Amino acid sequence: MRPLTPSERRTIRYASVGLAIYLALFAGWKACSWLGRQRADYLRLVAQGRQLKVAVQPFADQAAVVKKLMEEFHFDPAALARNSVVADASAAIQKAAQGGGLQPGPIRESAGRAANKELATIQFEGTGQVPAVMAFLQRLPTLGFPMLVDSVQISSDPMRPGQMKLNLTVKVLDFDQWKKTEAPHA
Amino acid sequence: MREWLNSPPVFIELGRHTLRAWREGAGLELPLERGADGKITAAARDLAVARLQMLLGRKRWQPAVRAVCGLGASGVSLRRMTVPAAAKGDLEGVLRLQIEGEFPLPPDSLAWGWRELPGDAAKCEVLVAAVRKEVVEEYAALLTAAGMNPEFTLAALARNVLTPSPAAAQLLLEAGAEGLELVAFSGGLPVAVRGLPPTGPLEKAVADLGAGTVYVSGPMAELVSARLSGQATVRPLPVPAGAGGSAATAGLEKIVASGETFLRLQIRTQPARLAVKFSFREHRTQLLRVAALLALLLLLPYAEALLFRPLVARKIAAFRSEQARFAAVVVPELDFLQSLKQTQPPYLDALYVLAQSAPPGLHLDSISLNQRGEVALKGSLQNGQQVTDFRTKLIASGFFGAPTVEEQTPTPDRQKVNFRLSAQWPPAGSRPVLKLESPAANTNQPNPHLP
Repeated sequence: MRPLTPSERRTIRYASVGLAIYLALFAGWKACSWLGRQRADYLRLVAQGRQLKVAVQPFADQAAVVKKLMEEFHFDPAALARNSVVADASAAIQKAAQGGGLQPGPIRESAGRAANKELATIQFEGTGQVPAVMAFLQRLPTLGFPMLVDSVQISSDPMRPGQMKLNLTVKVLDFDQWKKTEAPHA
Repeated sequence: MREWLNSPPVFIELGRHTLRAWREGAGLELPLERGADGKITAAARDLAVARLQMLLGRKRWQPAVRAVCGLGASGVSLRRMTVPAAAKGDLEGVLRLQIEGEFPLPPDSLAWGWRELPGDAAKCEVLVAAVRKEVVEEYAALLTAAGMNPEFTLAALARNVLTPSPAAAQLLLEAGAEGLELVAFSGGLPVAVRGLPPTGPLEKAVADLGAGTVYVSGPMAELVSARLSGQATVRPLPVPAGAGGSAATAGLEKIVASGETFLRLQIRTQPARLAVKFSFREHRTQLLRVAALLALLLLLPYAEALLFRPLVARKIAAFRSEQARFAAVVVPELDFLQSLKQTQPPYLDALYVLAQSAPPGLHLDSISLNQRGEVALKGSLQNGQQVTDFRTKLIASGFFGAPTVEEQTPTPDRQKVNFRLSAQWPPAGSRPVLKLESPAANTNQPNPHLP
């Protein structure tokens, strides 16, 4: 290979410098745009985080309301066992009646209407004095089961003066069905 | 606070081979060894700096201590100059020109100062004292290194204020081991200076400079006083006892305490033209730091994005999953419980209103209530008026919409009236809120909140 002339060497030198400058500028521009994209993504994430923070602020209030309602009703809907809730509710009704001085009569259980998100309907009959009946009615919502009193019938017992007959229909609600569909806001 | 920050000044007498410093009753005396070139040696300089720093006890954060220094008369030139009174506005500039003409060195090579002499109003007479700039610069560098802010004057001026009448014509003789320094004063200002060796013709010099009292100070003061005792009135100057105490330091302290202005020897240079001298080589380190800081400032936002983006993304994902879990668990529970609470029929409230509205003597056969709010009541009362009153009270309670007496039948014996009554409570929200009272407190008493 023949040696390069000074003119050729100078040309190559200039070309190398030009190429290096071009590459540096190109790489610099690419790096800058990449960094800019990264920063824009980061700022977008930060903004999302701020929005989320605002969005979850009512959660604390909702959690407090749920806690208060659970304490009021004495049960946690998520902890209820669907298979045994009707049996447990029936037993609790009888126990509350007996504990309050009410003499339990016939109890009938029938399947509830799924369309109404009911598990079962319990019909309870009992006899007792007025205070016992009223105390029983008062205790009913706090027995610890998702029960809704459908109807109450109180009548005097002609055979036993001072005694009242109570005929009660209670619906046991199905929380699982409630979860599956959007709950109506009553 | 001000006194704490501005510590008291130090008074220094600077001889060619000795430095005496005095501050608040304590002081020190240091030798100033000089090399072959006549400059203070580095060892002597370092020793002096260290000893002076110990004397000052200054913290690094405290401002420099004011040092009022008296220079020996050796090497000091005194000139009386007269300038026009009109030149008082720019006296320094005029004096500079005169010094240029009368002194062997240019003003920029001298440390000089002046005092105006009392005279007539037409002209201004000035006494100028000057010494080589290098002399003052050498002392200034040493004292600055020790943490001081030096001001220079003549030691003889300081000694003069110790005399009983400083304005009188008199001679001051400093008798040191290195030599004798004889200064003639008139009107409180030096008019002539003589430097003599210890055994020089002192008597002749005193006779040449004129009559008057000779005030003597210095370590050889007694010896010199004995030499002059027959020729002139000789008096010693009061000197404070202890190392560093001398007539000059005592005089300087007296001048500063009195607040008088004194002749300051200053290095007065020609005002330089405004020019920015900046050397990149000298400030290379600082420039590099500034550049690094700027680069850091520019890159930090991008570095933040690169470093924290994964962390923020993880946090947001965790947040979202928590939100989904909450929505899946808590929201249905909340809806369910709220619905249960709102659809729970107000049986007890209805029974309470009925009981409070019922007239005495009501015989209840049956009462039925259901979730739709329908109430049916069957019973008997003594007469039709009581039935009417009962219904009126139920209407007035506001709890029931429109009670209807479906049937009202007197018994065959006309003693009672059997009746059937139906009513319906309005939906939640449009019902009045009952204020229930404790049954124990008001048993069998009508509720005052009901009609």
